[in-house]
Amino acid sequence: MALPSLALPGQLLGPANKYLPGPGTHMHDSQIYASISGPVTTTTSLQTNPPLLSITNPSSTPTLPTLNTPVLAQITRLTPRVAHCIILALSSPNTNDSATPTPCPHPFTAQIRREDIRATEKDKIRMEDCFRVGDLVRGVVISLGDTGGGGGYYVGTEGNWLGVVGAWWWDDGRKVRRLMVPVSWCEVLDGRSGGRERRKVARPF
Amino acid sequence: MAMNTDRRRNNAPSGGTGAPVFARTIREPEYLENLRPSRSRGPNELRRIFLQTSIIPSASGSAYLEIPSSSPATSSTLIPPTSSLKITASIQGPKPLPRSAPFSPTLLLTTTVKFAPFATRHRRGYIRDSAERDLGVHLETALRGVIIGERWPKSGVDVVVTILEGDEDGWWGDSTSEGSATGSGWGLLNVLAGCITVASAAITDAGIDCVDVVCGGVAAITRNTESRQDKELARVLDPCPAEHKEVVAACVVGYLASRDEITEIWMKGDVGSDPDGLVEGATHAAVGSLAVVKEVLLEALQTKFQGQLEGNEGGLKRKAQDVEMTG
Repeated sequence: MALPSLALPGQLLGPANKYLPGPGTHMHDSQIYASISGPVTTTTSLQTNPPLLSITNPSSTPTLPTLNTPVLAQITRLTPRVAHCIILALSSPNTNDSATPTPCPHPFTAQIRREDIRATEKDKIRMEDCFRVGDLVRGVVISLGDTGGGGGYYVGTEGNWLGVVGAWWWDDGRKVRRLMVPVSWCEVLDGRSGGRERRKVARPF
Repeated sequence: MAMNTDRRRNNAPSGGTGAPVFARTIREPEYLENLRPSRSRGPNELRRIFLQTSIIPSASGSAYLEIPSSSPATSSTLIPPTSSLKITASIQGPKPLPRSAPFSPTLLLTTTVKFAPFATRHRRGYIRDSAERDLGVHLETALRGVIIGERWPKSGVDVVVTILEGDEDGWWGDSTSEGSATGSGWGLLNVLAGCITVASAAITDAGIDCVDVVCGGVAAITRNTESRQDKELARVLDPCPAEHKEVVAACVVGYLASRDEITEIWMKGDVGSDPDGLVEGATHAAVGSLAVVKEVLLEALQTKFQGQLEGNEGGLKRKAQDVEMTG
């Protein structure tokens, strides 16, 4: 049976012994059906496996954070044990820092626990040496969390490419702010005043 | 009703707007009967359906459904013979759950059905009444059966349906003579079928995973009082209540055509000995509207897909057409 180029939800795509069900499809009675509308694509990764049937999501559909999704988040509140933040942009899961994140239409609440900030010397981490309120942080979703909207997702910054990507130096009595540049893995510098602050810095390149 | 009045807005008189009574209808009582619409299509023929998706840019999915009045407008009166059905649906989300909500491994579906204040001959309030809440619950059951909620953990979707014009419960000439503004509720079944169809199109437009495209359909048993001696009962699909003097029973279903499953059923009236026939008729009506939905969705998909292939040119062209709003 030839595959249709465009599929609507509920449309039969093929038997499950010839294809693998991918994103945008579902199984029913050992047949693969479409579950969203869009163009049908088949990808063959290994010769031994049957081709993967998937339907590409239209770009207008908002995506949700899932496990291992790289996110850009802004710190909203700091406590000694946890940093609360809101997720502003998402990349596709299991990609690294080269992927361009897409902004999400609704901000998701999230938190970074103190033990998830870095992989080594976890007991010596002090929250105020890692983040400040307003910082832009690149992290990875490590858990969906066990609460609804209140607690939010758990984000971790363990890894050299994860951490603060945007930190600002407040000058002139907190009237103007300037982006600081990283000088080491744990320090950022304001180019004009020479002020230094401690952060858990993401690898800049 | 007195408890539910909206004190934040200027409300219209609660009595509603009555149809104007012309002197001729009082002078000649038989003239009013001349205006009575009658069903001109066959018993298995549906009214025409207009459907369009992606009409609200800020929503992740939206659709508009219109079933225009099937009876031809007469030149002798200003009042349209039958009402038409006009419904919009918009999908908000999937979006994060509210702060107070507990964890949910599946998608939380919220449906809101609201009649516009001007949607029916009897004016509706701004606050949802019991009939609107009831429709919302029916719509939620119809949609819950098709959405694959496990694909969207810890998120919520709002389905907001606004009825701009609702089907009437009967002909306006009858309701004024009886003196009651609210009728038997036959129109609500047509409204629910329209809500299911339009919400389903909007959900598909939003790209939320579904097992099938659910469609609503109505069938009714009507009594023919005039034409035949023995009051014959006839089954019709997609009844327009204004075109029938007496509706005995009616049934609306939310039907999944490719799986042959029903997610929602609402039966009303004296069904008699053959309820299955009525349900079957309703599924036939649903299949009829599914043909329209599929056509519209495919057409929307093709235009969207072509725009992607052409790349940025199409986007720039559309931007240039946008009108800047001032003032």
